[in-house]
Amino acid sequence: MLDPTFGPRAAQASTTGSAPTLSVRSLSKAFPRGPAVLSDVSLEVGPGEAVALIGANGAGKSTLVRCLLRLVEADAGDIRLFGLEVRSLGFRPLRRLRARVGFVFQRHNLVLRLSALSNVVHGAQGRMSGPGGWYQGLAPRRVREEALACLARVGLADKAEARADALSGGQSQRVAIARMLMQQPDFVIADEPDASLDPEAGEEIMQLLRDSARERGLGILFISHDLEHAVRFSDRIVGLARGRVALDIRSRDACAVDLRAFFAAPRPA
Amino acid sequence: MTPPSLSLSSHPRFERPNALAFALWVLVLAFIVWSFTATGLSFDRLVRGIPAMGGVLERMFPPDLDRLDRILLSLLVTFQMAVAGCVLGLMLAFPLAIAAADGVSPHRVLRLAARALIALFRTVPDLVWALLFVIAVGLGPAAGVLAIMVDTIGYAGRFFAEAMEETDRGPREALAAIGARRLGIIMSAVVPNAIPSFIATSLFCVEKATRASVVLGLVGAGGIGIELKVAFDLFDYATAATIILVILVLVITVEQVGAALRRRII
Repeated sequence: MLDPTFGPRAAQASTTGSAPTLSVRSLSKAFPRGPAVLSDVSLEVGPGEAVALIGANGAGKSTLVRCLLRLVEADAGDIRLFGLEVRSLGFRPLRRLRARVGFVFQRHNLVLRLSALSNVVHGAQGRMSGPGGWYQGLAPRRVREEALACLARVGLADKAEARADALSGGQSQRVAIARMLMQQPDFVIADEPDASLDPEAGEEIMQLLRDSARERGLGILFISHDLEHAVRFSDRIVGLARGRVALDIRSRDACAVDLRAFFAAPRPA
Repeated sequence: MTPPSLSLSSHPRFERPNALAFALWVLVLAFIVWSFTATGLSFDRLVRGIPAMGGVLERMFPPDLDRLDRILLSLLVTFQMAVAGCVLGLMLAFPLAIAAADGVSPHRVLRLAARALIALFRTVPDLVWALLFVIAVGLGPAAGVLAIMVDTIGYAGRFFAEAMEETDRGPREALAAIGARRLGIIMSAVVPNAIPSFIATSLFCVEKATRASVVLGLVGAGGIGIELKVAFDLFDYATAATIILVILVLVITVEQVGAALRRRII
């Protein structure tokens, strides 16, 4: 059972007190011929704030973060990122907005037949057009140097020429983070970046993400099934259950809540 | 004792066809038998043809090498037809395949139009294209090159499009989330993952075009085919044997080189 004392608090100001970087209001989504995945979801992420999104499988976490960049279209509700109303943006403004948000995927989503360096160069495509961002061999010297610096930041400068399919899971996720850094984002979304990694690699990845965001003062919204990571690497924890926000607490208050019971919440029908 | 649910009698080896399926099977078998009789092929006729074939083979050997230099020159032109037609076809097939690939094409209408064009190019036989191009550009290798080009677009366009459709959607989603342009997503996330399939298809196209280029000469589209036709028309079976042997060497060489390249690159 969920603790009834910790209900949705999204309407309250974020911990920083200034205008939120991300603001979601009454977001709903149902897939065709399926039950509602998201129902009346509201949450905020302030500038420089780290928010962990937790919930059982099928709670709607991945759908929610995909809706934020319209990788999945929501049915109703408002999404404001950097003050822009995301759901009403045209094709080009949406592309420009996406370029400002770094997205780290659970499955890394690298191009396996290309080198780590080429995959990182891809991160520049939001701010440059043409073949220079397609492949490291075609990229200008400045872009290649920048990509190599991003790889060095995640500790993989020596793997620049290695093909992505020759990397371990942890290394692949580091390359994905380097690609995100190459994007020079203003906000970071990470969908279970620590999933399918051993505990040590998972912790390293979370630390790297958190440090990278902190260095640049970026807000970050990440999904994690690891409660220790959710508590350690976030300022706030938002919990989803059956597509609704059922928990919104400061991470330092997490000890007062049985988060494991939260994960055991019944899944949507 | 075996429980009733585990009895094999309730699990027959083959499913019994229903009446409609049975009728369809009978119709198909009847059509096959009819095809043999309607085309006049019979065992008796086949047996009677063996001595005639033996006579031709006897007149083919030893092959006449007097015109070998001219034959080799024609063979070179034939292979050049195949290469030129194939390269042009592959270059045109690539953008057409992008337009035709589901999940890659920029617009549904464009996708349907591209698919229809590829289907047209693929379903009309290369000999028919050669006849049309002979009328359009006259006798000679140019008509052959164009016929091979169209045939290659039809073949490679379909397989290129399928290869792109089958690529992992994850990297495409990642590039879209970065704010990459459509062309950037295709060139960065789709094409690299489809390259092994592109190479395999391209090598098969070269092999296919080499075989086709030999036959296209028969309808006046240049190359060694016309030499073969003249040799047969003049009952010069010894020269025909030389031509068939050099064609055999060319086709086997191209196939072997293609297979070796596939093993090495993919």
